[in-house]
Amino acid sequence: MTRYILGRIATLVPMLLVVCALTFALLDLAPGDPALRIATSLAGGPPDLSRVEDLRVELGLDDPLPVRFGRWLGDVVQGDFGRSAIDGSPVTERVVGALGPTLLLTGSGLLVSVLGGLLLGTTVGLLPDRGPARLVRGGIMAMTGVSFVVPTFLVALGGLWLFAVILGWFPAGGISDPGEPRTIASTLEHLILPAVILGVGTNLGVFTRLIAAGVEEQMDAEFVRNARSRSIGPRRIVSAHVVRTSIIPLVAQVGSSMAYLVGGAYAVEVVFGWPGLGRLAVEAAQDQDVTVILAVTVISGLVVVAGNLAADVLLGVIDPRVLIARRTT
Amino acid sequence: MQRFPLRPLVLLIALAMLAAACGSDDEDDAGASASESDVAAEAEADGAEEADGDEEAPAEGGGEGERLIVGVQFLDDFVGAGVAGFATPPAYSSVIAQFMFDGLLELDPTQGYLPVPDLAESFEVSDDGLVYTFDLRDGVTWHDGEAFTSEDVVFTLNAALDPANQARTAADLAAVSSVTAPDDDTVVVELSRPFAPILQSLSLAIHPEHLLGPELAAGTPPGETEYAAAPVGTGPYMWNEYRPGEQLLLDANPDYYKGAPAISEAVLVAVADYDIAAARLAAGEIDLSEVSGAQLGLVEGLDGYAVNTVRSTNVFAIALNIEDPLLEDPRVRIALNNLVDRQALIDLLEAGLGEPALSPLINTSVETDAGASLATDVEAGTALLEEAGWVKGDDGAWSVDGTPVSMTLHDGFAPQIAEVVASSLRDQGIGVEVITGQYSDIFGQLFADPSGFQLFTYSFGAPTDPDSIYILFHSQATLANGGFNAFAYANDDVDAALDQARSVTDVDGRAEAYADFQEAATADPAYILLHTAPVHMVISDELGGWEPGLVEYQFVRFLWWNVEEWTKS
Amino acid sequence: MGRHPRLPTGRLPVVVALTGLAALVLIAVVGPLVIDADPLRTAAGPPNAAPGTEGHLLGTDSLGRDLLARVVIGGRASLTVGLAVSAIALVVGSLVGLAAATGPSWLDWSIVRVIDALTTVPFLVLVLALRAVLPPGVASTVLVLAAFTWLPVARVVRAQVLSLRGRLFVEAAVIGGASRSRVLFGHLLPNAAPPVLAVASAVCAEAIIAETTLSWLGLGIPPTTPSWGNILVDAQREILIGNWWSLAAPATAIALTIACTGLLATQSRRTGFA
Repeated sequence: MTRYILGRIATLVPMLLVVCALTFALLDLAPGDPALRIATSLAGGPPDLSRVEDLRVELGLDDPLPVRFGRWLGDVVQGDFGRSAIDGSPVTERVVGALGPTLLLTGSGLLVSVLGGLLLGTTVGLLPDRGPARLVRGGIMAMTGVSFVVPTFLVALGGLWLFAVILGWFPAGGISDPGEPRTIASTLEHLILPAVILGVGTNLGVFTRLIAAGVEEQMDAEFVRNARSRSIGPRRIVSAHVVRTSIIPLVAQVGSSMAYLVGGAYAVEVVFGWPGLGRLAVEAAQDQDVTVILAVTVISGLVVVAGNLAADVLLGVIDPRVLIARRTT
Repeated sequence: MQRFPLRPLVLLIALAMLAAACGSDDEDDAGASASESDVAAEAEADGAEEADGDEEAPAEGGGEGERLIVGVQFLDDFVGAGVAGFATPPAYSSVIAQFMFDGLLELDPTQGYLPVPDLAESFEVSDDGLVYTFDLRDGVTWHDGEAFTSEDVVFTLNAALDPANQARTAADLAAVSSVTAPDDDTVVVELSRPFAPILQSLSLAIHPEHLLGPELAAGTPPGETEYAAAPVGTGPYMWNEYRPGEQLLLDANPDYYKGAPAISEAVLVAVADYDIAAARLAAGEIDLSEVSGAQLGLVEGLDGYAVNTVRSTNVFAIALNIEDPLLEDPRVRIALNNLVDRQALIDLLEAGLGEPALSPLINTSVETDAGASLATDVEAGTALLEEAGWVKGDDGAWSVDGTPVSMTLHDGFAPQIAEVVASSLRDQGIGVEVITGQYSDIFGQLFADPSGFQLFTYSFGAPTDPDSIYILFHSQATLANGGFNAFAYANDDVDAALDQARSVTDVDGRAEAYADFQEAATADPAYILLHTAPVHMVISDELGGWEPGLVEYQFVRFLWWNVEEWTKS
Repeated sequence: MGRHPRLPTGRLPVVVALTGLAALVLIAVVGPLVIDADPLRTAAGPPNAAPGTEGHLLGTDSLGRDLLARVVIGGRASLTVGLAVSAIALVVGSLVGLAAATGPSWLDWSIVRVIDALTTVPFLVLVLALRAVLPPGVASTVLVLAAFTWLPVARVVRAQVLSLRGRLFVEAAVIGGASRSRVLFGHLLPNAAPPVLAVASAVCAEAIIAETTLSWLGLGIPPTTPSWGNILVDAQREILIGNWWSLAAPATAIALTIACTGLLATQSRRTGFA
């Protein structure tokens, strides 16, 4: 198992490095001279050209790309994400401060979509595809399919107005009540709506379908028919055999849907004023602040990779065959 | 979450415009005559009144346990600018300054934004307009209990002037040659030349020498000091806790020199945009927030809230490249002013509540006559274009020398304004194509080379002093010189009037100079002047004491200037 | 499965979907020439006029622009984005996938690593990063979206080709002396087509939805070029004050397109490989 985990890490780290290098090279193409940009914003207008030269030397902008990448990477490894390309302020604190709320939201959204997917997927899988049950199935499929047709930000905006403003069931934004200390209870209260919206708006549909298909298939499988013939109660069959077997593709899917989830979380963050990485990234993109974008990219990549790793490990625990299969490829 | 993409860069530019508006290093304007200072005299008289009023107890109110919850856009940017201190423009401009800090003087919205005494109890101006002597208020203390003294003022002004701190207020104070403190209660500011807008500049927030001084002396940039993480002021509210991206918690200052605020806590809540603000208002989570015309439908008739429209000094305009062959002729530029449909802008974008702009100076402390000949008047515009040699075809489309007229309108921050302007000009037969982009891109291109542009959306970030237009109209205020006169507009009469307005210090004299400016600028327009955009303050019925002030485009907002008098029931 | 590619046939649904898409494209291309109203003209009618008001069949938006004219011309930008993105994804993804599956093992290894790496970057972040580099516009929106949508196509092509490689008909062709490119493009690729087309159809829908997200962030097609995305985003506030029509028009157009591509995707998958 340890060897398996180490092996996964050994492939994931180079992946992160590739992402960093590609993003770094990409953002290097951003139009305009970074020194000129910083000087412009420091001067608040047309800048003094000698100052631009000074800045260029100061920031080492004349060095070749690999040198600059190496220097940046070295700093990042030491926990320094550099200075804003807009106003020269340090970026690290902002990014690190935003990471916690993003992890909380992403994790809760994942939980909602996994638990919801299990519940709804099993329901759909067990219901016969005829009679009134067909309506229930259809209803669940339609409801969970919302994420296939409606962009996450619209789900979030609709949810905000319906559940927070019109019905008043949840707070309309932020992570704690104005002026109140951040407590677990108040954080939870603020978390529920965005987390549910994130879960429904991103992965619930996929997970539900995956589980439903798995359950349907398993119910037809020989061992289930055997169990039935031995008159083992349906509940026990479902919990003991069917769900456990269907959960494997779900866990695998969680790993590959991490990126989608994190992206969705960013849209939800903007709508709900959740002080996470998404807001930071969107503002940075509007300002074209490449340092912040770079930092957010790296951290998002890290979150996704960590999610992938966790899913892989979980998969190895549930289904030891994976360990062997992975080792041989 | 559509919004004007105003992010820090824009904010900084707004700040710079403000800063530059208040001062410039040009030598030409030094030809000043030293005249008697009516402004100062008046202000002094008002100061005495103010001081009397100040002795009275503060408004009785809810007192203990009340909490004020304010929705604020760009909270992080405001906090960043506010704590860096010298980055703040005149004191009562940003929300942080209005809650936490005082200046030597404050601009009084109830008196046409005249600078009136604040931390200074009174002041005198020498006859030549070069020496300002401030007598400081006794018994003022910092939030940490230390006494406020003249050392703090000297420190703050010198720090703002120190190039090492890269203070954006430095340009405001360019005319200052020395700041000294003969004793604990007196500050003397000397100018190198008479400079009328200096009083507004001297309303910048004063910071405590005993906390910030040693850190700056050690070479730490203002924004990265420990002080910046928990700043200390003399104003009505004190720093408690800051949660970036979310909220800033403030406590009432029991020792505020005007008396402790009636509401014991204030929370500034970040709202990402006006739509989010509307949602949080509708959910009853905040006591007050501003929204723009687009959100009026969402907040009008909201239970427990009232909507107050706040007038704006901000003028939207289209800058004209006067070197472009199509736009060289002043008659064409007047005609474009005549042909643009200002009412459509006001109706479609401001729910009918904006004001048409026929002068760049609207709602500022000096009134000028509007440039009547610029008013929307299709007949007059058509006649002028014909006079200028334009030919109107049978299909209504204009052409010059047989070529159909087609212009570009570049926009970096207000696409809807650009679309409505372009559409209204197209309705008049003038081909206009809108090119929008991100603010930093479009303005970057402008700074690099203005010659490729024809029409360009602009917004005059006018604070209250009319000198703000200097950087937009004066021939010396080109981009290369650090101004915002992008297309090198030059008119001798305009220059003379703007210089005159800087050097005379009495109100009437300045008004006269601005009237001259208006006449010259109307005959030879540099811009298509459009309209002002008010904001709408949505206020909980529980809140009392709010007084409307003016707002400028994004930064200068007199919305919280009398926060110490607010009550909550 | 025979040697000749079987196009997705569930016949009727495919015909319906293709006809639907063709109709949408036709409307977008021809519509603006037929409709008199100028989609960019503000105050063409009263703002937020209800459908049917004085010659505004679908009503007007908050700037008083004719919604019918806007939605029809908006189809040009949105369908261009959807179709161009899926076309680029299809071509680039197929070539890369094919190269990985049939090339030397080091190439396969590196391609798989790069694809894996890129899929760890959330779409929104990748888009934001690309946006910092490219100016806004239809072409750059296509590029931005194509930059990540080729990934699943490449994956599927690679997997398909790998699984087909050992099949009899391929080996028969190889033994029969068919050239390498003939085997690649004549046998492998066509037989891998159904699932690949399914992914490409999904990409088309994804791109159209992603374009609305970009518009919402103010980073998409500039508002001066109407697209279903920016019309929809303009309307998000209006629906809260009851002006449902401004949202209904672009939403219906998007929904129709997604329904067609969804049908195609399902059918391709269903009739897929044996």
